[in-house]
Amino acid sequence: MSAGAAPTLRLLLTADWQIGLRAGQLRERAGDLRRERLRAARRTLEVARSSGCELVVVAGDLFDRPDVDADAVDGVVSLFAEFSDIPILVLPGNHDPVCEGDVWGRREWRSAPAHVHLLREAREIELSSLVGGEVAPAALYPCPIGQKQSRLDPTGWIPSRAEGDERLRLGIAHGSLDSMGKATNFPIAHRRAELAGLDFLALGDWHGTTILERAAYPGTPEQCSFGEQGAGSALVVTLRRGAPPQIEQHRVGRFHWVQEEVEVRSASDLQALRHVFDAGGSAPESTIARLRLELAGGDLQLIERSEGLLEQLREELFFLDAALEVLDLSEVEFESPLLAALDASLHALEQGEPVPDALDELRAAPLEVVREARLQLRRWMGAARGELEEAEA
Amino acid sequence: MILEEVRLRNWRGVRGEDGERAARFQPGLNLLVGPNESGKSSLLEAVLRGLLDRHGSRTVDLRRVRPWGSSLAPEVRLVLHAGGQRLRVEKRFLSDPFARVYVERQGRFELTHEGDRADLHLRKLLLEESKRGSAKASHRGIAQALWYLQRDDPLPRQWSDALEEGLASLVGSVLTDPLQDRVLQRLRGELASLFTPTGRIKARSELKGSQDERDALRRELEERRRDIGRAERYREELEGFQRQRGEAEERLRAVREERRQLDLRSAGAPELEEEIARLSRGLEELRGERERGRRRLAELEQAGERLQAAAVELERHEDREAQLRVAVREHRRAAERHARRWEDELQPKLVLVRSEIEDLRTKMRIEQLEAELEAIDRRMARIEQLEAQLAEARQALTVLGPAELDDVQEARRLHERATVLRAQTEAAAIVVEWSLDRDVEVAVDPDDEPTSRSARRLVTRPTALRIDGVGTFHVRSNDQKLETMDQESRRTRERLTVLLERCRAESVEELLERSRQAGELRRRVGELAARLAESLEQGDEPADDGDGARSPSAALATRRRELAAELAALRAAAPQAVLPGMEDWAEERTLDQLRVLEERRQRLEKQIREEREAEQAAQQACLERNEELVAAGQLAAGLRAESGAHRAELERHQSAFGSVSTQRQRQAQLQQEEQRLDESLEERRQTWREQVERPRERQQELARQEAEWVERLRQLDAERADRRARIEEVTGLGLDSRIGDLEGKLAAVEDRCATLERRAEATRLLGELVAFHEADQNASLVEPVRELLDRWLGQLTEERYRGVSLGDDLVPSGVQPSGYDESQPLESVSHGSYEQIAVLLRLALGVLLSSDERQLVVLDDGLVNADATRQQRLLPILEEAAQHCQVIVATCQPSAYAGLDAHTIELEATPRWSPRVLARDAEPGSSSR
Ligand SMILES: [Mn+2]
Repeated sequence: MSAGAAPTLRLLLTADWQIGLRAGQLRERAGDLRRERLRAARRTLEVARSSGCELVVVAGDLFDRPDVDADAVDGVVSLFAEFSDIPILVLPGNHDPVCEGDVWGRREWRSAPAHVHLLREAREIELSSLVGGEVAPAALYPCPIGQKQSRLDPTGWIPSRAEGDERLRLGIAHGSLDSMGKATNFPIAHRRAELAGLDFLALGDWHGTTILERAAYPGTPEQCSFGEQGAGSALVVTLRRGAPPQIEQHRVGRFHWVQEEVEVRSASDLQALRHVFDAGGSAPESTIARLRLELAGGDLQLIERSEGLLEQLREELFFLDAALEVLDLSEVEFESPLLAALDASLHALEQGEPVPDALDELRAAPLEVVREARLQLRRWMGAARGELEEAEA
Repeated sequence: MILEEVRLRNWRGVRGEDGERAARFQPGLNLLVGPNESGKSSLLEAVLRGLLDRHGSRTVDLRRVRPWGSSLAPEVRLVLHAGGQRLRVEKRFLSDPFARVYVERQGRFELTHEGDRADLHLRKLLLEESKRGSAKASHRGIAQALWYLQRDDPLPRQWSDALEEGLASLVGSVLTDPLQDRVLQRLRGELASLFTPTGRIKARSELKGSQDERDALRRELEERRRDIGRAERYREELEGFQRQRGEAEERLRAVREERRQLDLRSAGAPELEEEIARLSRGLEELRGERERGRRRLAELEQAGERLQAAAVELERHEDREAQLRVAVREHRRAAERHARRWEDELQPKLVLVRSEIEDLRTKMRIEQLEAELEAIDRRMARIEQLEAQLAEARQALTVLGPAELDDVQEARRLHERATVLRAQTEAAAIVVEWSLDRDVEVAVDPDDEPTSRSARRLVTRPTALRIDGVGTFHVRSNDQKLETMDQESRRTRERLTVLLERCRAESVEELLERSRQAGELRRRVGELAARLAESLEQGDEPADDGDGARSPSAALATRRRELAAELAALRAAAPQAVLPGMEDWAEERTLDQLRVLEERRQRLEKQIREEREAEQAAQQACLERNEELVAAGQLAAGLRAESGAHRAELERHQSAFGSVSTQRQRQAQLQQEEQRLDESLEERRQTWREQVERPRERQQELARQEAEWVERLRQLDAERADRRARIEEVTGLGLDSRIGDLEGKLAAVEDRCATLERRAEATRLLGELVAFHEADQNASLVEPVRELLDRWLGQLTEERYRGVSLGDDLVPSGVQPSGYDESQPLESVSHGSYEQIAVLLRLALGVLLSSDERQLVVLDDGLVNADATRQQRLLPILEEAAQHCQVIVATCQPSAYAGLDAHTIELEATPRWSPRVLARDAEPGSSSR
């Protein structure tokens, strides 16, 4: 920044850290994932430092819930303390709103270092009053959230640019741009930046990175669940009065979330699946996957190979949630008439075909149980055959 | 399993130091022959016990096996063929019991099992699972079906599991498939590890463990969520406090503003207070003056009233005086009026009436005296007459003579006695009657009269009858009494005669007549004397002066004189005016007149009395009023004095305070002034209340409110601090992370549970399907049994029955007679046929169970009820069966099996120990077949 030139401000925009996310869907790894979120936060702040940002803006949902553990808050405060060279502005979001008994009033947060500023009031703030004189003249318009839900536009209060006001005007808000046309929580007018004469509107709430003309969602630094798109980044925003903002996207997330439903008909299908992980964007140990394998017309060997693959992936991946469904078993030759009759009965039950009267009660058995029984029968037979061959040899 | 040899010692009838019984059998058909009591059944029993009873058993049944009365230990030794091996079995029971199993290897028996394991091994030969011994057929394994002993029912209700298992294993061995075996084994293993026999999940299974873990996780998660939920609740409370705090602050602000306004308004209070005090003082003074005036006026008015009252009282008393004076005058006049009335009017009338009454009375007395005089004259005449008659009667009595009353009575008594005696004598006398032919005198002595020729005579005393020309007859009574009576009779008559002479009477009758006349005369004299006395006494006062000189008649005469004198006096005195009235005298009228006069007299007397009383009363009243008048006069005088005093007092008051009206005017003025002052004061006070007092109260109220709101705010802040602290307390517990971990863990365990449950259910489903299909196969096993049985039954009954209805459980329920479609219940066939069906079924089962390995079928006299024809037809069936299995038939009638191709073992009849086994074939393997 130089005197006389248009005021310039370089800031790092991040949001939705969701520290304390319970992540129960990751089963035994829920705790690991929680800890990983703080690492992603650290990487975010490191980007700010390495990119020469004068300011970090956390646009809401720093914490996942107001009752987040004291340890988690401590962790964030300690992290912030490590980056005391960069002022950090924190906006309360719908997950951590400002209210009686909020997370911000708690002892752990109150011990946050001085360069951390909680934007708890919706009023114009001279940036210099927060961060000192070595900064471009800029006015902040924070739009903190005071409750979990609202249909009111939190940015509605931001005044229009006054005649002759040549400061940078920066809005900070948390909510959903109303351009989506849906009834949303905390709807924000999508033309707010233009309407209010803002140079930039920093937004939080959407977990996928979304960059607009004068506004942007950085997205969550680490994906929270299956189904989220575009997560795992932070934005470095450079503002210059009179020019459109320049926005750089930096990847900070570790994990890739993969969700696949695969129909397995042959061994080649399994190889293809294997390839998804081998050639994927991230290392297997940073992959979180949910797989639904449907085996149609499978024989025992294919089933076992599928199971073997899933077992292997479970070992390699950070987390795998897998389900194997055998839709239709290939027919097998049973030398034993008893076993043949058994399988025929199961097949009839599976297909809902007529069965002898004495078996009528068994028709109530769930399909998955019937399929499992057929599978078991084949497995046991396979095992028995193996044993016999071994004995012969 | 088949039997080669059996040896037994100390078994029921078989006893003694070296006592032993043995039998050897062929693998085919064996006939065990012996009469009753020869020990056939003992032998078979020993085989069963040797195979099934525990050597250590001490049941009552087993103890009965011991020879009677001894303590010997029963022993059995068997040689068997089973599972392709030759075995030797040794068992001893009760004393020093043991069990041993030997297996023949290379020509030598080696001990392989001993004790309980030997017992177990042997039971397994018959597929028996329980350890209950051989007593009940259902505990004998397959021997239940293959052994038909004497005491057993021909057919059981159901076969034991062992039989089904045996058949199943038989089928299994037929269709045996090692792959299937392994799969089913695996299935059974899985089922056993997953489920209890009742189908519940086993406590120590992995599934159960997972479910328990899952439930524990759920419980903990719920608990943690509840814990962390407290923070949310505190937050809600905090919001409430915040809201309340806002309200409280708002109120506090309002209170303070109002206080400020009130302070401004109450600035003019001191001046107003001063004015109110001044006005109050003026009012007080005015009220004092008015009160004094009111008291004076009251005194004046009271004096006036007292004077007035005295005047009224005086007036009242003067009126009373006048009234009393009038009353005195009136009473006096009334007294004079009454006096005039009784003295001047009534008294003369009374005198007149009295004189009239006197006249009337005199007249009546005269009349009375005249009547009385006349009556006395009549009486005196009468008395004279009666005295004359009396004298006459007394004369007549004198004439009649003296006849004493005693004499008359004596005469009457003697006369009556004589009469009685005569009658008695005659009654007792002897009647002598005679009638003589001739007129001859009859003298009777004593006699008084002669007697004629014929007569009748009473003899009362010794009498002599002298009849002329005839003689004298003496007649007398033999009774002395008759004579006595006759004498007395004569004496009586004599005394009577004397009496009559003295009385100068001719006869008793005359004497009695005279006595009667004298009585009458005496009565007449008495009567007359009485009448005379009566007349004399009549109307006279009794002569009471004791003057005996005065006779009644003299008294009468005196009385007459007195009356005459009185009459004369009256006539002389009576005025002439009265006397002429005598002519029309009538007593009633006179009495009426007298009564009227008397009434008038009384009335007059009463009137006079009343008038006199009235007069006295009036005089009395006059006196009383007069006294009152005097008293009233005195009272009035007193009142006049009092009135004067009051007037003097009133005048004194008026001279001091002025008149009443002056006073009243003054009072009215004062009252107006007071009212004016009062209103003015009230006005000021109203102003005071509005401008000072009420604002002051409000100030106090507001100050109180202010304090309250301040306190409320303090409390709310304290509560807020408390809730915040509590939230920190909750969040300090690490609950959120813990919940996340628990949720993750629970999801994992739930996945595992679902998988395990699915597998368990699949295993259960497989188990149920296997059971179904095995049962299905089992049912197909029945078919060969049925076929064999049907064929044999037709053979035995010459197609009378063509088949047996055999259930899947191998228990026959009926037979099918030829020519009928329906089957006939088994109970309805003859006992013999029933028994034969049972035997055939056992043989058929034996044949089928022997497909893998020869089995032993035992029939202990099972065909005793078969007729000779059927018995003969049975023999080829036995022979056919024996081609497949070992058959031992025990019988006491060897002739029934004549011609049977069988190995025969004969037992001696005597239960005594025989050192040798009597068998046609002593050595195994050299069968007669
Ligand atoms: Mn949000």
